[in-house]
Amino acid sequence: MKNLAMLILCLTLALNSAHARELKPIEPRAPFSQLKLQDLSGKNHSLADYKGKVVLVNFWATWCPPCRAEMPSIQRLKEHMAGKPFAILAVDMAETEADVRDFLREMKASKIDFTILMDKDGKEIRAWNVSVFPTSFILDAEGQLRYSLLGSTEWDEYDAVHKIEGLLPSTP
Amino acid sequence: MAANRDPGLQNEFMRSLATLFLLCLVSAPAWAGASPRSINVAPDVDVPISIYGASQQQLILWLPSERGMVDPEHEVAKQLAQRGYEVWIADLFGARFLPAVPSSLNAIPATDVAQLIQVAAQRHAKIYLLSSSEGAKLALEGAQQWQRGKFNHVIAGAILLFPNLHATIPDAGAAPAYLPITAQSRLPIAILQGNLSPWYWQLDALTAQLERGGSRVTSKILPGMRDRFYFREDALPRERVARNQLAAHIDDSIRNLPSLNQENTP
Repeated sequence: MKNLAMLILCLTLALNSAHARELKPIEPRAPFSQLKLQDLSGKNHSLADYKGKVVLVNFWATWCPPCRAEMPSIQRLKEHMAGKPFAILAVDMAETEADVRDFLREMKASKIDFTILMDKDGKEIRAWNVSVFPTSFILDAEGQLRYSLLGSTEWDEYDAVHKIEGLLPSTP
Repeated sequence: MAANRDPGLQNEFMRSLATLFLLCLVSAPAWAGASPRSINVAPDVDVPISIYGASQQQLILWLPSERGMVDPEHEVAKQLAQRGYEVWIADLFGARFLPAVPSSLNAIPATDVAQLIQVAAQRHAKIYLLSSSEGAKLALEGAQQWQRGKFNHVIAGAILLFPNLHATIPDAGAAPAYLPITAQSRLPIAILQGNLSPWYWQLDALTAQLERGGSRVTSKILPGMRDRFYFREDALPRERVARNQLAAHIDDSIRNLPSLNQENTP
């Protein structure tokens, strides 16, 4: 009886830990801003540049353990979606470029090469009302907000991939 | 008997005694050095208090956060005592046999805090309430409970460490919604907030909300610090160093507490 209880407890814990958070649908609406920011190479970006693509906007920071934990799965999502109209914009919260480059060196095994935008003065964190790190949004190909997520997830698991693929524009 | 007088054995015995003494010192609990006291706040509810320092002028009443009281807070209390404060660490969780989990905080009535203030006010000229994270709610509600109908300004302020006064976790993209107590408090308030936190970016909104009720708020930003930096299990080296500076930050915040506008003061 004791062994059975232990088995049930272990299974419950295993299921809970394996269960990734799910993207929450939101009423389609315009984004909070156009995210006019520079990437690590100094190139300017704006959401307007990504019209026609589904976009994952992820607010993160190198000091945030759950943000760090989900980065490899974001990279795997990018690889899974290769060739499809999909883009990732990871917005770093007001850190220095050196902080971010150090982090990328630490994570070199994950070969992170998606776009990282530098929100140097936190104006986008304020505009998007980010209260929890990480916070993510999915925009459809028309540039409308469609899903959100508070906290981290495994981005290459079924829920996220299925919902993102469901927003891809149909090929003519 | 002769064996007991053997100098070799005596030396061995003294060495063992010294080792035991050192072990006791090393393994001393965090609250070693505190004077214990217990204050009855309700029928069958006695709050264990660890007291550091002695001052009739300035008392810091340290209230638990959703994690209860943590060991590093006793170290900080000792340092505050060296700065001339009397510090009471109030184990309000223990008083009601509550586990140190977030839901326990809601099981502590504000009257428990008000009763502690009532007892403290009999011997201290100024009382500062101190808490962190969700414990900020308990501090504000306790102060409000005690202030009702009183013309006494013994509560000289509240020091809130990375306060979490959100009513709920807002939906992604939604503006923060704060607990009603934030707009009902009338206190000098000092907020200590690390800049490595999403809440750092909402400090203006929280300050405006607190000042709606008549509080006056000052903020001290701790660069390079995350929330809970002084007791995080994953503390960065710089956060471990900063733990030893927390008492100085609290002292500085107390010295710089804003004055309340005396108009409309009850």
